[in-house]
Amino acid sequence: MESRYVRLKALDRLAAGLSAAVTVFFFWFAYGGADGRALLYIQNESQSLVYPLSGDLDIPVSGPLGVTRIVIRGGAAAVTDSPCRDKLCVSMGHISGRGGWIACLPNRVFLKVDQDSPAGDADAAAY
Amino acid sequence: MYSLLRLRPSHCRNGLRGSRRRNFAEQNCGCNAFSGLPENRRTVRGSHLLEVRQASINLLFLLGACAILLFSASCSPRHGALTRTQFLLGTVCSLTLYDTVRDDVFREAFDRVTGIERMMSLTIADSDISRVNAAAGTHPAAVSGETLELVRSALEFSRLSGGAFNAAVGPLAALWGIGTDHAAVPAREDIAAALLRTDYTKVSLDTAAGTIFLQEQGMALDLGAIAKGYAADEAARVIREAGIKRGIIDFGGNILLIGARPDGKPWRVGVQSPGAPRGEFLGVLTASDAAVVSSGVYERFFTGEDGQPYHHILDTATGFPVRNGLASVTVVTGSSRTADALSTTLFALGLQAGMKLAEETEGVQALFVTDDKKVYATSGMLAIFRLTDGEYTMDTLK
Repeated sequence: MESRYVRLKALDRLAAGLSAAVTVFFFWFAYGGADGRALLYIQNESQSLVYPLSGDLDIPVSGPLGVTRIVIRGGAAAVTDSPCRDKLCVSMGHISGRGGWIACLPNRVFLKVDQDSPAGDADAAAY
Repeated sequence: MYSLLRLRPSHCRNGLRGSRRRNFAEQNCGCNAFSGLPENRRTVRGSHLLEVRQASINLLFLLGACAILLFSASCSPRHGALTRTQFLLGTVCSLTLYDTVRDDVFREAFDRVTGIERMMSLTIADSDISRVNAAAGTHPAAVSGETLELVRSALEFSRLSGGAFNAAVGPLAALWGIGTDHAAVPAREDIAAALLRTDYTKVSLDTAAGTIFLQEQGMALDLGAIAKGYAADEAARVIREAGIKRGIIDFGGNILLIGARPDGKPWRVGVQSPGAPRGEFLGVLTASDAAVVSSGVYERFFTGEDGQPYHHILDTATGFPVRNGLASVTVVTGSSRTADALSTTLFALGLQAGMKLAEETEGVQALFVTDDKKVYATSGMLAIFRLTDGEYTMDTLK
């Protein structure tokens, strides 16, 4: 009597393994992986800059009034100094979540955290 | 299947490489190269060939499925979106558009917002509003039809709220200077003097002549609580007319959602948790084709010499920032102009009166957050909002 079970050959295993690997890669590509990194987007009047929030960085950004100083520490970004008068941008503290932003309007510098949304995250933020 | 069995196995087509394959071939292959093998070995060879073919077909099928998965993933909200940002209306204005977007669409939308700013701004000397304010108490000023219409709308909100929203708050707002470099707590006599010039019933509109007249010298219109919403509506109109079916307009935290997410589900909008760093959410609400606007004590404020925070929503009864136990109000409705004006109005009215107005206004959902970390929602808001910040609790009005 013939067995009801298919006996897997080497190529079957190879096909299954390869397919599984490709599927995992596509899931990672589409729903996680590199796209899931938190990134800091910085814009001034002349350029747009992007930094990973994972590092430790000091970033000077020029504006019409002078240099706005931005730091990235421990997965969060903040403005530590800016040549504006009331320093509202400095008082905003740290931003780390997607959609969080700080703007120094007098010096025309804008920071925004963005990342691809893991489940539970939002597409936009209302302040 | 029979034809498959008649094809030459790959090891014969490609040549034999490696001793293992050669051994297999020598044992099982019945092709010309090994014609000396018995005829009954053809069945075994054919069975092997079938397995190779079947495995290849399976592999191709699975790779195809993965390709479809990748294609689907490429349609997720994270992919295929373009964002452009400009400094306009005294804030950061971002447009995130999906589908196939021409750069012209961004330019046209931002041009439209720039045009509105030139008409409505208080800081542009020759804007409609600046000219109206400069002519206060002396003569009517000619304005565009758009400015006339928006001022009419602002006055309607003023009447609707009994002055909680006040289109003529200009003198008081200028005195406090919140959000400017000269923000400070004014002297009480200065506040009293400014309050005398905030009577919105003394704003005269002449539609036929296209003019606005402020009846007393020193009066000043301030459309800061409605112009941003109107500009978002107009940007959305430009975008929709260009055939764009989905996108997010974000004017300094005033959100206008165009269509739904690319996967067909409603957009998810995080509501700022008052007092927490920007980007930390109180909860998330879901909506499509809707405006989501928050007003709160945390966004524009300064700390006075007495150490107290003073926020930007001013009470034209007292002359001071509204203090009624509310930390923020979020409004969801179809029009950004309405959401913008109503969020300020409901905040100024307070929890009880604001909730009543929100429940009575068709198509409006509202969320009230109090200083003692309680959250109150209109009946419609309960269906679309989910609290995520564990420090807050949902509550209902008694």
